[in-house]
Amino acid sequence: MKFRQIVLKSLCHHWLSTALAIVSIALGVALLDSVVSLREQTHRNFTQEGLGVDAILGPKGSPLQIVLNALYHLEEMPGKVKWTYYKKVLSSEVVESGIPFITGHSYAGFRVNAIDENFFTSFEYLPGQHFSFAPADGGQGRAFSGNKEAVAGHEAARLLNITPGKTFNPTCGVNAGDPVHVNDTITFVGIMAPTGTPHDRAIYIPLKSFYTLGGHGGEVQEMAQNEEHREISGAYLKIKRIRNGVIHPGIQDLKYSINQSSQAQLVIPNEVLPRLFSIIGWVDLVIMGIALLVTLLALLFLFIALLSALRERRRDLALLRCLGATRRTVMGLMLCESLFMSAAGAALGIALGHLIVSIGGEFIRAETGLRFSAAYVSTADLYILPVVILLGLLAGAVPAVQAYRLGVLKNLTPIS
Amino acid sequence: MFNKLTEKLVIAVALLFGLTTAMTAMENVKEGVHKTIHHGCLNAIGSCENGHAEVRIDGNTMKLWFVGGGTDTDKAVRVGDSEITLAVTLEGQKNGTQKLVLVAKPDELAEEKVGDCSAFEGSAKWLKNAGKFVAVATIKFKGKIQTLRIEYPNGYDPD
Repeated sequence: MKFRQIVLKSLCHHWLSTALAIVSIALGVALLDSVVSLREQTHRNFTQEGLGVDAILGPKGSPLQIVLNALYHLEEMPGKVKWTYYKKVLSSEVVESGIPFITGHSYAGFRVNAIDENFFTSFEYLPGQHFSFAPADGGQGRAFSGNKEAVAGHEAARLLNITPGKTFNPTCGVNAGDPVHVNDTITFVGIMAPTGTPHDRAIYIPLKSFYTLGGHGGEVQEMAQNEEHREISGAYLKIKRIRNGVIHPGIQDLKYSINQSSQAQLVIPNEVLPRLFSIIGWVDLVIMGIALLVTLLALLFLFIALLSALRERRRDLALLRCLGATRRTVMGLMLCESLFMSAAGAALGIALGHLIVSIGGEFIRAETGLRFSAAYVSTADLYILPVVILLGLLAGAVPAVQAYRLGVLKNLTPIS
Repeated sequence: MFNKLTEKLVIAVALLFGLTTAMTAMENVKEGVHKTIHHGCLNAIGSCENGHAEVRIDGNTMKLWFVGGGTDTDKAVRVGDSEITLAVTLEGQKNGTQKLVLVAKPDELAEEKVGDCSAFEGSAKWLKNAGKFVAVATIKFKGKIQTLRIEYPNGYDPD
């Protein structure tokens, strides 16, 4: 009988403990793999070029709150910025263009943002990527052009069954129980193609629509005409580039100047978002620690399974020795079993990990609009297989050495 | 033999201690460095905790920003002066001092105006090749008459 056949027969003979060891390793590896993958993809999602925004002009308050509101449609803006001040910022020599917006409205749990129409033509949600309404890309209809028109992000449209032609009344606020603009019926004229960004989860209306919504009072309605009194929640700013597409270094001087003012601040998403990760970094570490612990426990289970299998098979191994198997063959048998179980467990775990990312990613996408890919190759994917095999071999080393030292005569002695 | 071993151990511990102390000191020095927003040199006004004048020279123009002390060097401090007259002593110069008038250059985005301004500018042909110099002036900073001392290009730090 060939060595390979002996290994396979031995594994089949103890199929239950073999299967349990493989499953336990697979579960541990799957947990570790999915945690690392989701963690890395979350970092990537939150740091991908500031989601097309070099800087955000926002009111005084928490910079993180401004980024979360302006880019991720979470939280609320801490105040307003005067239109005249925005125009001053726009005339700065380092600013290329700006897209003003007003947040604070919602519909069926999705944010309704009033935004400048340039958002659909000049805004790049990722480098070189513009919003599309083309059916080939998954979009429908067109961008808004009239006052009472709206456009829905792909995810918002999917979850609310929005199609061009449908109408809605926005809620004045983002919390449950906030009043509805019952006299302002707005018609959807377009659905944006999916972008894999939080913009998929928002609804957009023209900037001027905000000022004309009933219930905002005369002062706000006056803002539609009078620029002196007009206010916005903030603006996405595109900064000029110098050589090789590098952002103009004057952005720091601009930030300094704006931040000295009493009414606004300049927030650079790529500076703020790493702070978010430093705040939640310990949660990251705890989850990683738990996943590592589970994987180690699974390997410990492998060690125990091999050890108990060895105890059961002492007589079999002694017989093998009598039939001509060398000490090395017996030791190799144990090591190969360990290698097989750890490799199979790791491979199954990686596959399972990607399945978890695929299912979990869908849930996260529905909640945040951020896209997670099951095909993403994480750091864990690269290292987990060799590391688990190595640890599996280590776990098998003790039973293998014991098998090597097995006394043939002693173990063939009649039991009764 | 035991004594020799003890001696070596003591030396090793002492070396380790010395190395750790030196590294800590270097870390402290690193932490003590203030950040400059405009890539100029920082000159403490009175003490580092009180405030700074950040100075940069672009061609024949000197730009000066009054900023906070300690870790607040990214926050502007406005002064009431509309101009500041500096007495500049160039390195190696023996014929007295040069006069340089810096005028308020209000930052519109920061909502500054003359008389409530943190940025100043002044030009002189000799600034282009000034190299090292020391400049002194008297200003009203944070409500008190204080001496402004600029040591260019290394900055002034009395602490």
